[in-house]
Amino acid sequence: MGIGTFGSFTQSRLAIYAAQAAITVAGNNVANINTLGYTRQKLDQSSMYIGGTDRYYSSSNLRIGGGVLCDGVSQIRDKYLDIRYRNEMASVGGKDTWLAGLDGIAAILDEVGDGKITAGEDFGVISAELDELYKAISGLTDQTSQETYDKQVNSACTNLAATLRSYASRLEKYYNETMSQFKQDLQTVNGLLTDIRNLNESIRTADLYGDKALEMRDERNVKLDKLSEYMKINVTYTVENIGPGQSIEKMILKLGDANPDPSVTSDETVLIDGIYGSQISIIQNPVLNPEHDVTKEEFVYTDLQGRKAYTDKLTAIKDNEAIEKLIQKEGLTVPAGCDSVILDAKGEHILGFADSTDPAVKNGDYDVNNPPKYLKPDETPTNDINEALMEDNPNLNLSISDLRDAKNHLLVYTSKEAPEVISRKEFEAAYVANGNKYSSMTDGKDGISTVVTTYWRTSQTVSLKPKYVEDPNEDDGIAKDPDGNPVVDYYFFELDGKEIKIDSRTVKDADGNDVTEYFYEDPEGLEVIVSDLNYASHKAPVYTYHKQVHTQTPSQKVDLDDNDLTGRIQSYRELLTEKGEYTSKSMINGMGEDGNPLSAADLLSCDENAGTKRGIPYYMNTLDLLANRIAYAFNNANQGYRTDPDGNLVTMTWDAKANENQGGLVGVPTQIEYTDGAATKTFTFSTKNMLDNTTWNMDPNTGGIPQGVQDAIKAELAKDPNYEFAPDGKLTSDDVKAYLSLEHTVYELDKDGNQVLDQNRDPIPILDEDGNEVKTSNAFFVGAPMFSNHGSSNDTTGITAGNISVSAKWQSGAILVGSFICPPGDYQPASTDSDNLIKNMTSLFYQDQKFYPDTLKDDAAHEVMFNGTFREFWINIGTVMGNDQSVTNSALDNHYATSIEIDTSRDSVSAVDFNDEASNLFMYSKAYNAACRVMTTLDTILDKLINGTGMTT
Amino acid sequence: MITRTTTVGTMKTYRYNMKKSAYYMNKSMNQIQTRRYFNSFAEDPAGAAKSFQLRSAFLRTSSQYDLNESVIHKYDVAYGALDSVDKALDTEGGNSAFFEQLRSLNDADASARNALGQSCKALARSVVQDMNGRYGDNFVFSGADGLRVPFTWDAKVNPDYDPEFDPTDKTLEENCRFLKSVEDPPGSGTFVETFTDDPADPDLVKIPEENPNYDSYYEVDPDDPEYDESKALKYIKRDANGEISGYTDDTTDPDIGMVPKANPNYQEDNIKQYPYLKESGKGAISKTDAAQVLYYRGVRVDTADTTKLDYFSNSEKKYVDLGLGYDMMDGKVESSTVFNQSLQGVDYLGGYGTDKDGDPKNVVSIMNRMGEILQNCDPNNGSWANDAEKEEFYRLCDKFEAASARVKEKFTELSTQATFLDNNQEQLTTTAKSLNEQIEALDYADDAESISEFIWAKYCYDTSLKVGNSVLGQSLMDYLDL
Repeated sequence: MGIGTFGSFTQSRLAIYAAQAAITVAGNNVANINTLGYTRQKLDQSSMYIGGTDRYYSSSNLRIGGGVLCDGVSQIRDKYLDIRYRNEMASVGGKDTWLAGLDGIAAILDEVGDGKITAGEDFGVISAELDELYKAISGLTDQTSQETYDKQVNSACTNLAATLRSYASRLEKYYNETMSQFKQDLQTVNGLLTDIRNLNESIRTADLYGDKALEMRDERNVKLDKLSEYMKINVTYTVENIGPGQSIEKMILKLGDANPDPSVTSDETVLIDGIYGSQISIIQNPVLNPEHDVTKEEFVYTDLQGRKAYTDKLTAIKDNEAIEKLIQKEGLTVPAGCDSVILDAKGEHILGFADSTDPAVKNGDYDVNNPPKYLKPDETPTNDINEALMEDNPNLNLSISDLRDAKNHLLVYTSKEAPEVISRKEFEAAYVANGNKYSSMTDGKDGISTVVTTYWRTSQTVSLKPKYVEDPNEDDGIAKDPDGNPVVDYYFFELDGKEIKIDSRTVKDADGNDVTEYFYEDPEGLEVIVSDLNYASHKAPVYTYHKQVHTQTPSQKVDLDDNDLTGRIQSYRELLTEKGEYTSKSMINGMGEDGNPLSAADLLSCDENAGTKRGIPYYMNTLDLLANRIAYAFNNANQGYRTDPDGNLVTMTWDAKANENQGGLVGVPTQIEYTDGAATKTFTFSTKNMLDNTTWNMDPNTGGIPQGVQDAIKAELAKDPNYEFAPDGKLTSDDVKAYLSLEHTVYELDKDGNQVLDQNRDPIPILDEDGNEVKTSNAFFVGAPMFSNHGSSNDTTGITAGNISVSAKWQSGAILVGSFICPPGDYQPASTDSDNLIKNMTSLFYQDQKFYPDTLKDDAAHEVMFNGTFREFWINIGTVMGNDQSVTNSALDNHYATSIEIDTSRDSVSAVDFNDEASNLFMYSKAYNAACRVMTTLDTILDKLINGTGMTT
Repeated sequence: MITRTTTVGTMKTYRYNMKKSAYYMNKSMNQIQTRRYFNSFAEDPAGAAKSFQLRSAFLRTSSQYDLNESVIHKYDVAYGALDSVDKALDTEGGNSAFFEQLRSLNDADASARNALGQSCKALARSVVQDMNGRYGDNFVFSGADGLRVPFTWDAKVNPDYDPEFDPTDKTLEENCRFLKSVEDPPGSGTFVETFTDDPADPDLVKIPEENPNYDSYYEVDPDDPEYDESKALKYIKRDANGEISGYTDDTTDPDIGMVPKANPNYQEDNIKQYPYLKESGKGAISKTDAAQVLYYRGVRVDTADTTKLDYFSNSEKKYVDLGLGYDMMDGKVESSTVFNQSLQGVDYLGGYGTDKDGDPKNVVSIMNRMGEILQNCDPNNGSWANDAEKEEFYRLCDKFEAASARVKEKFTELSTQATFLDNNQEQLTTTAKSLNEQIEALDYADDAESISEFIWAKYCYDTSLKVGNSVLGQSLMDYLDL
C-alpha cells in the first residue's frame, strides 16, 4: 500500500522534524563540549515503513517508505575502553599515592642538599652529625680526660639525638596526616558508592518510563572513573526483568579481582548491585585490657555432646603420642579444624575437642581473678565485646558492608532449585513436621542463608474403570441386576501401568447413619479416601506431591584480604602498615609460632610479599633501629670493668710493700674460690668470659663462667636474705654483676697478706684524704650510658629515635671512659689512656654492624637486614627510599601516559569534535532545506493537480 | 581507518604535553640554580649514596688532618725537649755533662770535683725538667698518663725496710748481741743455744776472750828480748779485778778471761728500721736525709723489678686515627693502621732498670750518681772518697757514653716519626683534594651543559605555548556559512 496523496507532505514533515532534532542534538553536543564526562550524543533515525500488504493491491503502484522516524538519542561509547581506562586509573591512583607518600617521607629523611650552608657540609644532617661525632671522639683520643673534649663529644651526641628525635616526630606527624588522608579517602569512596547507587536508582526509574537518562549515565561514568582511581573495579551491565517481556538495564559494580591469589574471592566482592549499594570501612577491633592475661583465660569449647563447656586448660593433640592413643582408644575422630583436646581432671578421658591456635591459651591456667578482657570507652574493664571500645585494626584491613538500598532494605539473593516430586508419605510427614503447614523455613548450612521449602500437590483426574461381577450363565459372562444392568464388583483406575482398586465399606456418618466410603491403597500401601468419586462420570482425582526449595541469602559484610585492592586506597593502606623487613614472620607465612595456621581473622592481614613492601612504619622502624643500635653500641662501649693488661678484672687491696715499701692501695685480679669435684680452685674473672662489655656469658660450654663458679657466686649472694634470684633459680648475668659490685672496706694488710690489727684487735681500715674509709667492690664497673630513653634518666631500655637522649648522668658532667686497662698492679687506668676510645668507639665508625629487624620487633625474622656502619645504614635508608621513588615514578609515568592514551582513545569515540558537529549542522540544515523543497514541490504539483487539471473554462 | 581526532582529545593531549614541557624546563632551571646533578635520592639513588660516602670520607680526612696537626705539634715539643737533653748531655761545649766528666777525670782539675759534681747533678735535674715539658695540658713524655708528671725525684727507698720491725724488741734474735744456753726442757739435761741481749744473763754462753792484738804471723821467740806476749798469744788472762794479767794460748788456763759468746745473727743498726737510704747506703729515717733517685710515673727508673716499666715501654699505647686505614683484628686495633702517639719518657733516657753491675741504665741516674761521687770527693784536694767510688766513677763514665748513644738513637727515632707525621699531613691534604674533585665531578653539573639543556627545555616550552595558540585555531565551525 503506498501513501496517500497527502502522505508525501507527512513524509516531508517528518524529514523536517528529523533534521531539526539532529540540529538540536548537534547543538547540545557543542554546548557540552567542555562538560566533564559528557558523551557525544547522536540522533537515531530509521526509515518509516508503512506496513500491510494487500493481495489485491494495484500492481502498478510501488511500495514507497513513509519518511523518516526519530527513534531516539543515544550515546556513542566504547565500554571496553572504559574498562581499560579504569584499570589503568587504579594503577595511576595507586602509584600516585605511593609516590606522594614516599615524597612525604623523603621530605623528612632525604638529606641530599640539606644541612649547614657552609662549604662541604651542605649535604646531609644526620650524616654530618655522625661525622662530627667521629671528629669529636677523634679529638678526645688525642686529648683524653680533658673535659672540654668530652663536652664536644657530648655536643655531637646531643645534636645527633635531637635530630633523630626531630625526624621521628616528623615521621609520626606525617603518619598521622596520612592516616587522616586515608580516612578522608574512605569517606570519598563511600560518597562515590552512594552517588552511584543513587544514580542507578534514578536511571532505573527513568528506564521504567522509557527515558534513556543519558546525562545521568554520563554522571555515573564520571563517578566510576573517579572511583577507579581509588580501587580497581569491574563494571558489568545486566538485564533486570521487571515484568512479562519487560526488562531494563542493571549495573553491577564489583571489586576488580586485584588479588594475585586465585583462591581468594573476596577481591570480587559486589559493591553495588543495581539499586543496592555497600560502604567500605576499617575493621574494628575491641581495645584489649592490658591487665588481662590470655594465659589465664577460661576456655570455651564444645564437648562431645555438642554442648558449650568451659575449661581452664587445653592440651595440644599434635606431637603427643599419649593423646593420640587416647583418641584411638576412645574411638573418637578429631573434628576438622580442631587441634586441641580437653581431658578430664585425671587426664584419662577426653571431654571434647577445641580449636585454638593461640599457644598461650592452650597451656593457660584459668584464673577467676583474671581482669576482664576488654576496655570500655571510659577505660573500665569488661568481658562484653559489645560494650568494648573499638579501634581500627592494626593492619587497617577493610570490610565491605552488606548491600542495602536507599531505604536501608537489605538485598536478599534468592535461588531456587528445580521442583521435586515426592511421595505422599514424605509430603504428609513434612506437613506434620512443619506444624501442620505446607512450608518450612530453616537456617542454611552456611549459617547465613535461609532455606524455604514449600510442599504442594497437584491433582489429575483419572477415569474409573468398572470391574464387573462375572456370571458364566450370562451370554457375555457378566452378571446383571434386576434391571438388566451389569453388576459392578468394584471400580479401579490405572496408574503407571498398575491397577488401583477402589474398595468400599460402610461407615457411620456424623448422624449415625450408615454411609458407603470409598478408598484405595496407593503404591506406597497408604489408604486414600476417595471423597469425590464421581460415579456419574466415572472420574476420580489422583494427586501428585511436590517439593521446592528456595534459598534466600542476604548479602553479607565481607572482610577483605590484605591484597584485595589496587589503587589509591590500597596505597594508603600500605603506606600506613607496610613494615618491610620488620613484618612479623607469621604475617608473611600465615603460620603461628607453633606451626599452626593463623585464625581466619589474622589470615586477612597476611601477605607473603610484605617483606619487600616499605611504607611509613618501615622508615619509622628503621630510624628507631638506627637510634637503638647507636645507643646500644656507644652505651656498651662506655661501660665495663677495669682490667689488667691481660683482660682480668681487677679489684683494690692494700699492699704493705706497694709504692716502694711505703704501703699502698694496689690493683689485683678479681678472683673467687670454688669447688670443682673434690678440688678447690680459684677462678679469675676475665673479659674473655663476657659477651660484650656489660654482659656475662653464662654458658660454660662457650667460654662462659664455669658452673662451680656460678654456684659459688650464688652462695655468696644468698648470704643476703633479701636478695632475689631469677624464678627458675638459674644464675644470670645480672647476678654476676651484683656479686661483682658487692662492696667492702679495705683494711691494712701486713707483708704476708694478713690484716693488721690495732690494740683492740680490730682490723685497721684504710682512710682516704678526707678521712673516710676506702671502700672497694669485687670489681670496678665504670662508665655510664651515653644515651638513655629520656633526658632526665639513665634508663637504656627501649631506646628509639623518638626518645633517644643524652643520659642525665652525662648531662651533669664528663663520663667518657678513656680506657678500662690498668697498668700492672694499678687499680685505675693511666690518666690519658685512650684505649677504649680508639678500640671501642672509633671502631664504630669503621666496623660493620649487623642490623636485625627483630631487635625491636620480636616477631620479625632474625635475619641480617643490613651489614655496615651506622653511617652506611643511614645512607641505605635513603637509597632504599630513593630507589622506591625512582621505580614508582617511572611506573607512574608509564601508567599515566597509558591512561592519557586510553582516554584520548575514549575521546576519539565519545568526545565532541567541532568539525563533526559542524558537518552535522551542514548536513542537517541541508536536509531541512531539502525537505522544505520537497514540500514546495508537492505543493506545486498538487496545486497543478487541483487547480490546473481538468475542466477549462 | 583513521582514528577520530576530537577537539576534546586534542586539548587533553596538549595539556599533558604542556605539563611535561613545563616540568623539564623547571628541572633544568633547578639544575642551573643549584648546580647539582641531583637534589634527592630519587633522582640518582646510586649517585647520592656515593656522594654521601665521598663527603664522609672528606670530612673524616679533614678531622684526621686536624688531629695529625695536633700530634705534629706535640712532637715538635718533644723534639725541642730531646734537643735540649742532647745538648745537656754532650753537644753543648763547656756546659754539658760529658764535658764536666772529662774535667773530673783530669787530676789537674781535681779540686773542682765537688763543684763539678754539683753541676753534674744540676744537669741531671735539668734533663728531667726538659723531659717534663707539656703540650697543652698534657705532659709530653708521660706515655698514656698525660696528666701525671712523668719524671720525679724522690727519696731513695730502702728495699729492706720493714715497717713492723722494732729494734728494741729483744725477743728478735737479730736484736740480741749474745748467745745463751738453756736446758730444754728444764731438767732434761739437754741444753740448747738461744739468744739474749742481757750481758748479765747467768745462762750466757762464754768463750775465751780473744786477744785483739794477736798477730798470727808474729814470730814466736820467747828468748827474744823484744818478744811481746800480747802479740804472740791468742787469748787474754785476767785477774780477780778483771784487769789483764797476761796472755795465753791455752784455752784451759784457769786465768783465761771469759766473755759472752756473740750472737752471729745480731744486726747492729739494723737496716730494716730505715724506710730510706742515704747516698752512703746507710739507712735514713726521713726523706730529707735520704738520697734522691729518679722515678717515672711512680716507679723507680733504676729498679731491678721492671715489670711495670716493661709494660709502659712495650705495651702501653696511645693510638690515634690519622687516616692510615684503621682496622681491627681479633678484637684489637691493628697497630699498623693507627699511629701510636704515646711517648714514654723512660724510653728516651737511655733505658731503665739496672745492668749486670747493678748500675742504672738511664743517663739521668748515671749523671746523678756521678755527681754524688764527685761531691763525695775531698773538698780540699779533690781526691776520691775511696777507691770503690773512683772505680765506680770510671765505670759510670763508660756507661754514660753508652746511655747517651741510646738517647741519641731515640732522638733520631723521634725525628723519623716527626717526619712521618709531616708526610702524612701532606698525604691527607692530597686525599682531601682528590675527594673534593670526585665530589665536584659527581655532584655538580657542568655549567655549559646545564645552560644548554635549559635553553633547549625553554625553547620546547615556548614552542609548546606557541602551538597552543593554534590548537583550537580553526575548525569547520569557522567556515560555517549557511
